[in-house]
Amino acid sequence: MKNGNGSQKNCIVIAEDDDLTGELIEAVAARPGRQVLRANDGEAALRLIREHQPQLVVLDLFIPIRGGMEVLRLARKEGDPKRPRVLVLSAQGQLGTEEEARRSGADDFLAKPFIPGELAARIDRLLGKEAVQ
Amino acid sequence: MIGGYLSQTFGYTLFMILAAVVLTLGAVVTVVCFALLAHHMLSSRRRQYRAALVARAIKLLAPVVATGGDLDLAVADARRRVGDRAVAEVLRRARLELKGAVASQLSRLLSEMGETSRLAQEARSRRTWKRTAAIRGLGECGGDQACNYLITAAQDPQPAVRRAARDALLSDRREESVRAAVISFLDDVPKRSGWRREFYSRLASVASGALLDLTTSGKLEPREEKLALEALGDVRERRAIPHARARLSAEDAELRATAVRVLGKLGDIESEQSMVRLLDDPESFVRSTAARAIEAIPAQASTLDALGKRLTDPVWWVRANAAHTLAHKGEDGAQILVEIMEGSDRYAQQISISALTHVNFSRAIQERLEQLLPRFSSDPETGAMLALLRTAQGAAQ
Repeated sequence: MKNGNGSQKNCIVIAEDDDLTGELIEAVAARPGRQVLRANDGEAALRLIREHQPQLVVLDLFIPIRGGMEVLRLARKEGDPKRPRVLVLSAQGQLGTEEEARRSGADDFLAKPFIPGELAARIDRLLGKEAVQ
Repeated sequence: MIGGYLSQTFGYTLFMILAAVVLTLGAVVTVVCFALLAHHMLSSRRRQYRAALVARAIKLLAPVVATGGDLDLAVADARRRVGDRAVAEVLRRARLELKGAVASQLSRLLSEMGETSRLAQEARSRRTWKRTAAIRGLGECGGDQACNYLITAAQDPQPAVRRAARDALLSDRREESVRAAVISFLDDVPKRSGWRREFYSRLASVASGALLDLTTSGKLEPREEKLALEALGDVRERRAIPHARARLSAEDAELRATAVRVLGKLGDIESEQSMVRLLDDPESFVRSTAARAIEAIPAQASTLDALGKRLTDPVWWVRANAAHTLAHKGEDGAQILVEIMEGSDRYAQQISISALTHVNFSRAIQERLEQLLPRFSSDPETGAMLALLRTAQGAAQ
């Protein structure tokens, strides 16, 4: 089902190279009626974003091949009406990174370590809103 | 042929002894090679087997950890299926990624299944690398039991172990753990500045209040205070502003430079005039840092004028930073850069052109640059830079 902005409603792409963290995020994000897709590197994440036009991307900044920041910029390319919302996850203590991510178009930022409930709430909030046109 | 030559030269018996030695050595080398190959294959298979167990443990435990299900039951089931080592590894890694009640629950489970005790036992090893690895593991376990071992390990005779213990105590985040890490750090401040910087950075991210207390305590030498203040600026700790303001007039020039950089990072508008004063500091690196720091605050016209004066500073870095900041201050800053191009200082002209290359400016500024172009007919280098800037702006618009 497509959204008003052309993205696939309730489709989430998780870009995370660590298998355990990816599995934790997937378990938090999974709900009946949601499609959750996983990518282990930036290249795969971009491919999934192009193919599935997800409503939300949960993005770790330190992923191989293409870094998270590059994926973020490409995913939020100006003028693209199908751009997804992006939730950036990164290690705590990198507040400069948070500023940079927000400047590059991240809708939300969550520092690791995180509380699963907090991540779930943020995902719900971002999926609840229409992507910015 | 060689054998015949050797047996003629050294005699038959000596030749036979040499041949026996060579053959024996060859046999020994072959056996060692096969043994190493077999060991490598076995350990490689062991690693693969272990990785497969961990992958299974992740599948079994991650959904329960993430969704707050019955973790005790899930852990008991996973231990039966994949063994204690794989389960412990997954729980330790999960604890590092998560915080709050679930992290405490993971610490409790690790303690109950004996992982904390096992690592504590390994932490008594005579081998430094083994102690270090065990200490890191204890840091991942967290909880009271692990914390007690870590506090002891923070006094270990080996610096690598002490460092691992401090890192682990900081990741525990609790007040007593952080305090123990700071005490251990102050007892033996590492020689490597990279290690010190890393410690301050980690402390700032987990307990910025504790770092602020340390920074303002007067216990740190200026070179340490500089690193600590920088780390506070990096985590945007606004409570550091009063201390940073006070350090703008510090005797130590590096501390003054750090203070002005931190105030810039924190966007402290009230320090604008103090920052402007540092544009006239006797040390060039303080002037250049101040010129760059002002970029982060909304500057008044008088501040822009003060930056304009720095475009003719004898030191290149000061000129470059002043031009950079002016270029990022919108139309007013760009006007000052264009005005300096109308002067006669060639270095100031070039640095102004270079700074404007990185920003977009208005049509009015572009027209003034057009008018300036003929002035540089006798200075082909500056003229070429200006022409390039004009082309770049044309393309951007």
